[in-house]
Amino acid sequence: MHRFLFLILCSVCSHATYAGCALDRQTLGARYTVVFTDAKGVSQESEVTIWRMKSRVLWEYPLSGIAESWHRNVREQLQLVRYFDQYDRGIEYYPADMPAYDPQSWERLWQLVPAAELESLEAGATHGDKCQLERGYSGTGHGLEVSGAWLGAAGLPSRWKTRATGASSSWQLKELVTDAKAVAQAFDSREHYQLIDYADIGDNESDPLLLKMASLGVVEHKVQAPRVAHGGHNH
Amino acid sequence: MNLRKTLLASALATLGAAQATAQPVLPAYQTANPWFTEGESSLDAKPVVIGRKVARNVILFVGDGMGVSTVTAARILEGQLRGMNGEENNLSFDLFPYTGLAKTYNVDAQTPDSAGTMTAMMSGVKTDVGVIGVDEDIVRGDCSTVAGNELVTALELAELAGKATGVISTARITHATPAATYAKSADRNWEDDSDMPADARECTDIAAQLIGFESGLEQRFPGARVDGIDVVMGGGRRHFLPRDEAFNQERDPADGPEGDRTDGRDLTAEWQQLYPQGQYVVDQAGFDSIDTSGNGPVLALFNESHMQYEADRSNDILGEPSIAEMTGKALEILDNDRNGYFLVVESGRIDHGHHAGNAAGALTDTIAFAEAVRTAVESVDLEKTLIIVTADHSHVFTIGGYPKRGNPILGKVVSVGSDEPALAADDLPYTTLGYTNGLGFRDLGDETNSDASYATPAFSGRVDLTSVDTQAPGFHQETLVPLGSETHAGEDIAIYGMGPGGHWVAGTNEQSAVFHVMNRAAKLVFRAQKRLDR
Repeated sequence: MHRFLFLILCSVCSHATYAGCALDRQTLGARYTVVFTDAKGVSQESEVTIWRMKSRVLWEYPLSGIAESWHRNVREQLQLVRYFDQYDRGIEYYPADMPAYDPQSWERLWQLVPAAELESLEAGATHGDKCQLERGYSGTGHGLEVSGAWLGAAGLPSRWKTRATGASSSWQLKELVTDAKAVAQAFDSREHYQLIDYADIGDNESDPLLLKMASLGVVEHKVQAPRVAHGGHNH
Repeated sequence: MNLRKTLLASALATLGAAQATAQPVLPAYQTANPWFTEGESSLDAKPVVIGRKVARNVILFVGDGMGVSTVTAARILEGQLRGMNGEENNLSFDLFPYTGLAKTYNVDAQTPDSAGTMTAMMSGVKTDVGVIGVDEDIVRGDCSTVAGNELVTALELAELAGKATGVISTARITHATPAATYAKSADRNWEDDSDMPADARECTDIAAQLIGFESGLEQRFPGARVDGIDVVMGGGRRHFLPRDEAFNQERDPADGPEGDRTDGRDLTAEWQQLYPQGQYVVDQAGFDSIDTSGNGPVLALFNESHMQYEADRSNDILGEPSIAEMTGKALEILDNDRNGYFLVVESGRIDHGHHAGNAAGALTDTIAFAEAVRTAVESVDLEKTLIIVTADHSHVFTIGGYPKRGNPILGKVVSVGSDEPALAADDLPYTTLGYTNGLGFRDLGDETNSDASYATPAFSGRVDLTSVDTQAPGFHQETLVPLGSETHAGEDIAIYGMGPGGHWVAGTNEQSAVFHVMNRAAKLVFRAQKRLDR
């Protein structure tokens, strides 16, 4: 039980203390393959890379060419920039235009599964060592079946599956990027994009590209963090 | 069109050489433009007012997106907030003696945008959607097509005529409507250098044009005696500051740079060097301490982007003045000039409230705008001051049927003789106000920021509003067509006139006629030319 609590507490701490693992969990990238299967058994595969750097989280959707950079500012507000890689452009959402910050939503962006949700599951056996040390989890609640493995050093799941009313989503970690330069590059590579305030989209209705971006940004990409309990998510 | 311009320029050059006349204050391609000539002649067909005085001062109020339905709904809301039924109320400009309509279309667009419409009002020439201060021969986004297509604006004419000038906006001061008073740009979005494509670097971004307005005018009119815009107030600080946290004025450095500029220029510092006697302010305290004796210009940039919605203004970190307060302060400064003044006041966030599908936000800003008009009416000499109140375009915002008299304008329809909400054919209650398109229904309760729901998808169609407080500031009306942002509308907008020349707004006008009303009332071209010829 004590070891379990330690793991939970550590899921939000900055540096892993696993023996022989010097991973900086505030500066990393995690590439996932995500498979959604609907109630009819039709599956759709997608890819998501989650980048963390200090108070920023970047979700990259390489197949749709969209990336979302979330920043938690010093006033505990969220700021979002939605990037459209094929156009070198982006839409900026000011903190005041975003839903109020709440820790659970931020943790879902940061580590997919908030600490409280992880805590509500039954902890299983551990495998591996050092940075690869992971623990199995499973449980049910709110009509969901959950199973997966938690990579304690990174504070992320190595695999995670949720199932509800026949539909399921499955997250599989493909690569963990710990090179700080690669992480910085993921954030910096879009610095030159032309950004527009979302509040200004309406004044640019003659720009079909912007209108398309506005629709793409809120409708077409459907990869969301897995969830155990019902609750708000910032997408 | 270009061939005609060349011929005109050639003829003008020949004439100039023969008669050694001074530079005409308006280029031939502007005065010969059909929009311009027809606008000028349209005033001749209007009633003559015997004993009309020349307007010493001109104030143009523009409610961005303030269509007729917005005026009506705001009038009712203001009245209801005062305890009246509402319908019988009058906004300040409802009481103006002259009213007309304007056709708002752009040269290339049935439903217009602010850039094209404000360019029409400021220059007498309709142009394409999305471009600022240039005629229709421009190619949007092509920097190389700006030269030779620039239009002279009423504000520039006033400046050349020796008048004090001012621009106020609750949007970014580099946004399309205020920009059309002072800038020439192939794209409304070129607000700073980082917004411009690499092949546009020969053009000057809008913020830099504002700071360099005086020298730019002197360059175009050698020998002109101008002193720059005397009062500039609005938002948009980010376009004036380098992308460097060290220049942050409101944002915490840990949250990244406030400025957007990538050329390293701090335009606020440059402005202060150009005008050492000037007053640069960024917050309510600075605004309150402005010296209004007219001893120096004022540059006030109250927000990184747009100023707050009026309903949300009290939540601003450093504090922002209202549009009425800015108008009053500007008039205190401008009326020190013995030659009179020219002031443009834009309420930019009416438009944004509508784009967000939030009638409460849009109407609250409209009421604040009407208060600004009232401030002007009560503080100027109406014998000498032409005041025009208008909009640039409308929105797809409607007032439906059939609520009884005095029914809360933001509420659900309650029919005549009933106390319960009427039900539609789907057995659900419905609101009086609605939008044809946009983001659609949101129930955000007491949220006063209209933009607060932008990050979530559009939702079209009906919702059971039985237990929803539709009068709450955070309620967003239902819509039919789902779009990422509610759109402008193409119907006519109203023009209200008061003071010398105000009668010329009567009738159904091309929007470009607004320039001619101002010009003829204050003899802007005549006085500018006369001063240039000295």
